[in-house]
Amino acid sequence: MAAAPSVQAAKAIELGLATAIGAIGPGVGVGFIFGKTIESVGRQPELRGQLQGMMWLGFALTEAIVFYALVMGFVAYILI
Amino acid sequence: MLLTSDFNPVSEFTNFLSNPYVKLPLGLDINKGVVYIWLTGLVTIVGALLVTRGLKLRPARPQATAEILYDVAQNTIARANLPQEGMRIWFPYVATLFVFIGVMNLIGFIPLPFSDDHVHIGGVAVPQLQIYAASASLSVSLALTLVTFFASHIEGIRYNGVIKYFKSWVPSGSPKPLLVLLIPVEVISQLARLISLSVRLFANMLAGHLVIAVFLALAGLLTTGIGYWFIQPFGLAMGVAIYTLEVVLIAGLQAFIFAILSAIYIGGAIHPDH
Repeated sequence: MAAAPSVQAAKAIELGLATAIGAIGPGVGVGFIFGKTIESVGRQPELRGQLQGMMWLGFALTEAIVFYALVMGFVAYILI
Repeated sequence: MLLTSDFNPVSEFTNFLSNPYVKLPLGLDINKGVVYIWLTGLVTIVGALLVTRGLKLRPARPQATAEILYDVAQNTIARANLPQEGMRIWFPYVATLFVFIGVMNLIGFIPLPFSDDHVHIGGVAVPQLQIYAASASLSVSLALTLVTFFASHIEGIRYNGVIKYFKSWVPSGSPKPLLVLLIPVEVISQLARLISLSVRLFANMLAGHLVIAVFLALAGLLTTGIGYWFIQPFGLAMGVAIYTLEVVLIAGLQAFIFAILSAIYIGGAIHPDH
């Protein structure tokens, strides 16, 4: 089932744009989380363990947002 | 997989549904994903039995690793988020989630011969070695999520009573007209947990496998033609790098996140005021 080249191109651009735009916010967020954790550990090194636990939780929650965009991109890619 | 020009990385994750090993009614087919779940259960049970058979006061490396995992499950995941009265029932559940999903994700990165694609060696069709994780299927992660979802609401009703539990969804003392706005938002946010918890695990594993597949395919696909000489080492290096990242960090982290969020949801339903 080969679609017209213009449709294929549009789908490829759609998938790329969905992932790229979806990656902006989480990219900023992940950087913010790691930066703030480094700052906090610098201020209170004795809390390192607790802070790291929360850091990984926040990292995974933020990082997952890219994949929502990616999955939606794939849904559009496959269905249309 | 690598040398065909019509390479489609998604087919690896969808084709196995249409040709199961054993066909059963009601969609209870035994296919690649089911075999991976059985394998996960087997590895988990046998591993746990082997580790706990000869416990010593001065542990060797397998026992020390198991003790670290138990400590993470007990203190970081369960005790920090579950109230004391819920520990007896729900600590085993979240610890099981942690170990089961972790093993399931890690098995997904070992190349195993359960593939639909065959390679012919001396006239015999041998299944290709491919990486596939059962958690890269939405059915698996959604099933685990539904258990947590119903468990949290049933426990909330059991500990607080129906009226008090549903009242606790909205902040106490909020004015009546505001409730029209608050109740739909709260109901949507409860239902959105289903999507966020299941899609997080499924999409992380699926995207990880797809990215590895695409980069390794780059290493094999675009080698013909002058000017592409740098693609092959680049694809190989990126593939190996992403593979390492997934195995070392993402596989365990996703299991941890799934278990800790289950504990937070169940603990929040038992003691809704904080």
